[in-house]
Amino acid sequence: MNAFATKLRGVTDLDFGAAASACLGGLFRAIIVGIVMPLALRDIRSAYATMASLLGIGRLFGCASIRTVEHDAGWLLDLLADVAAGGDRIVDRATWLRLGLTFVTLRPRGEWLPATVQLPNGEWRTVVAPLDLSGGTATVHWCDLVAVIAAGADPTALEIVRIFEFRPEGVPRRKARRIRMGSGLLVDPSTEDLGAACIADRALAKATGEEWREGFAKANTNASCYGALGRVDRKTEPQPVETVVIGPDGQRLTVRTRHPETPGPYAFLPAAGAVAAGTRLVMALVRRAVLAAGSEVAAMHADSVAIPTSTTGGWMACPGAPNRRLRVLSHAELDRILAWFAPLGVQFKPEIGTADEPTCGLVVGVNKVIYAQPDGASWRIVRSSDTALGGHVADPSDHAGKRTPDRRWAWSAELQRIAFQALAAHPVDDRPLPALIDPTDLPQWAQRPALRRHTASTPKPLRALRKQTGDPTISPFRCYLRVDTGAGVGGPVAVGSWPDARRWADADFRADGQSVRVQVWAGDRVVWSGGSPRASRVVMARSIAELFLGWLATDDPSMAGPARGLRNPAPVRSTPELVTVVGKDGDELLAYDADLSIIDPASQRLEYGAVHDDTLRDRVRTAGIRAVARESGIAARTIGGWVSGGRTNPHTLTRIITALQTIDTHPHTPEHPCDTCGAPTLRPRYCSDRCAMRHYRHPDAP
Amino acid sequence: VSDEPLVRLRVRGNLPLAAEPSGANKPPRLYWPRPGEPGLLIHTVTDETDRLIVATAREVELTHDRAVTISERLYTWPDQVPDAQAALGATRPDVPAGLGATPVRVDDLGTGGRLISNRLYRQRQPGIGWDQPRRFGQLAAHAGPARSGCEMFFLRLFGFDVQIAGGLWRWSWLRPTLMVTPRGPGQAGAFYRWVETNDPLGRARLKWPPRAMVDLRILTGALCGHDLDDPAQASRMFGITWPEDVADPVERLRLEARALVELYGQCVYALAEIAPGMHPADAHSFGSITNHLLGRRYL
Repeated sequence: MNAFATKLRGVTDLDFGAAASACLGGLFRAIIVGIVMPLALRDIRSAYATMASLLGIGRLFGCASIRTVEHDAGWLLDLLADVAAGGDRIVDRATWLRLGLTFVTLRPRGEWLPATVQLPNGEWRTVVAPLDLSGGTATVHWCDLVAVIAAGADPTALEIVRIFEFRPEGVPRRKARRIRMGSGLLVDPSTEDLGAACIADRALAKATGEEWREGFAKANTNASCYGALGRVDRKTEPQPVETVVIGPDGQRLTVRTRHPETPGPYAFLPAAGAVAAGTRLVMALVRRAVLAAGSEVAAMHADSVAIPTSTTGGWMACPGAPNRRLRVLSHAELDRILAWFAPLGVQFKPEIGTADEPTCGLVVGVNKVIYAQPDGASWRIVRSSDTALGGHVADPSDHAGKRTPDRRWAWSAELQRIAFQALAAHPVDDRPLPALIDPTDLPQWAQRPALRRHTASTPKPLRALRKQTGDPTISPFRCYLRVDTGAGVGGPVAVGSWPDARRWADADFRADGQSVRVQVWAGDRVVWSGGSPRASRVVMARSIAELFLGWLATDDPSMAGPARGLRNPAPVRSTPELVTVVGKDGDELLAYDADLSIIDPASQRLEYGAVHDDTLRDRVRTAGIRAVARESGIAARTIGGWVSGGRTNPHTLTRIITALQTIDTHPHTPEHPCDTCGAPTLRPRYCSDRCAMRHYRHPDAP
Repeated sequence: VSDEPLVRLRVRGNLPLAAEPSGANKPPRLYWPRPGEPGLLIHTVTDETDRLIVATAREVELTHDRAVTISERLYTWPDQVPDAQAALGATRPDVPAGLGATPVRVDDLGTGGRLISNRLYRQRQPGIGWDQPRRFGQLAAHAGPARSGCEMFFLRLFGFDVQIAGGLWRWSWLRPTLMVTPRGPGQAGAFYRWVETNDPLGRARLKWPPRAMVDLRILTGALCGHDLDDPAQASRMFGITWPEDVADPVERLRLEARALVELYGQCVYALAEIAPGMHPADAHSFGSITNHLLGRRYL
């Protein structure tokens, strides 16, 4: 039984569904990309525990009941006005504790809100961007609403629909109610602060000096204050079963699936969402302070922030910034900005880049940041991300499995060092990063093929492996290497782990049950060849150099701006019609070494259905189906079918919403000139359908 | 008028909390390590094509603060047994003084499979190993996806067959099939179940503890708070020396197995210290340890 299920008093499906829709996980924003700059990384110490402490999440474990309380907007609007005026109420712990698990339903009209959006390339990503739901509503945690104001919105312009709070009350009758932490510390969640206890537990673990204890205390803290609250498990059933979920509109959606989800024993999604929203608010306030100081944040993670900072401060060249230059803060200025959060107990840990050890950094893209320090004429990488270059790519170097002292793969660190050095020596311009790297600077082993290491750990990859190799006796959990052809489909495979890259040429690469020859080409010559020399079939593989140069590409459809320089998030425009209710994120379910050529990430995600919201249909009814049809160029019958409850595609919806906006902007007037030909007309914009179509087909024509 | 194209959005749905949570039907199993508690450690060494070269099974016992080996045996392919035995010569097993009276014995893989069946299935000793699903896969004579429709494999180890007349053979009714359910695509670890057999010695006895598998890769990862894919890294965390650059596979196997026995002892007592009452086989991740801690209340 879920620990909170019996505590809920009068909490409706609408409350639960709306609050759960505000639950968004990790977030990364790459804002200044492709520029080697002095950079400091600051990380919130025990971020999740601090947020749990501020928001009173621990009380959920020690209360007798949880009920919903409706609020009016007054007190919250006062707070928003104070934040807009730069007041200090937001750094008062009492404010956070009072608002706790308060959620706000509003109509977004371009406010900077977090959302999980589908990018033009089909990927899904959580972004914080100007969000317009075309009159639809969205529910956010109060922290996200304050972050909206911190991003510059006017608090009086917000269209708030509803404010409600999950309030824990009472003390359970059971005598035994203290929770034991990993270090043996006992905490009573009904009277003591669970988040603070987690922080104390980490300090005790650190004092022992044992690495595993520190690691466990950190993981246990994050699991207690966030992971256990957001835990959802997926099962695999032999036959499809019915599973139910509550959507943001309170409606129960049912789907039949072989992979039903069940909530964890301490799952309470609104609380998990609140903790993540708290960190987003702190990051938004840091960004506001950095902007006020004339600079900009370079990259932002859920609980850490990278800011251009040097010992003395100064200016740096930055395309996209006003006058193509951006201010660099001094460490003293940065410390002053971050000290503002001290009353909250939010402490920023100097991770990288201090006055004593200045560091330079390069943001390449989402989750890809390289930090380096000068080392004579070269650079020494002090930290970098292995995203897409980590353990799932077989080590191509001559020293198999070698790692740097901080456990990064030595081969990827070496490639990153070369790239960093090349870019640091290059002036800032708008060329993409891969064009600035000379392939001859890369080591010889970078011409070896990019092979991805997998394990046949589920029946589907095992069947595929047996079919590829033509060997039906291959046992489960066997390791294999798959050739990266760069085409996004499964290349040939070689059974085994093949740790020594110098021997890869001897491996028996097979495809469709037959041996194949694998070749890497550079220009017009073969630079690496492996597999059976007598095989008639030859497969072209992508080289490590090609893979790495692709890794350096900074294309990010969620941001707008130059290839190198300052970027801003692209606005998000949607409608409730296009909001899908999903289960646990599929990307999270796939571990780093899942063979994506066999397993479709989409199959790992449970989609329950669309949100039911008739706001847009009502707007069309009010404006008139014929008027919208005339304006949009869509057949009235099509619009009528959709207004009556049918479904349509995003393209048609875009045209309908644009038409509605046009009708709102150009109300009917007795007589006015046609927008296309100038003839006087009584119709809304154009004198005839022909003119409307002409404008639609050639919008730029005079 | 905005001309931005509309994009699709995704929001999380909320699962009704009254729904049966995962693991709800699992009976609470409280455990404390006790001196003399047995276990069987299985370890293998393979070549670069992932083909088995040699395997070992060490019977281990817990003392009051660590684990020790009380019996050590090696297993290899039948045609390589004489050579391997000759190469080992009179090498003493890696056991405390007074126990290793006879040299280390090398047997064929079938003997190893039967030992595993006897200890893990009949006697319900915990199976111990690093990356256990892979080890069992290497020791399986016959394995593949189960036909139940669930995402699981069946494994029949070497030695689970019976020779019948005319050089034919059949699977033994007394040796169980191991059903392995992976945790997910690309994730380490698995859940195990033995298919009950006609063997009266192996049938369920209520007072016996349930059969358990302790995957040290999962257990050390849960204790350290992050995934560990390298036993050397895990050993270093717990102050154990992991053998590096040992060319001879048999020597490497023995040294690695020795380090794993030490690691097992350290992990069992470390878990008992931070999460009293939790069985090492139940520590699937640090999240399961947290759930255990949140679920037990103290006065």
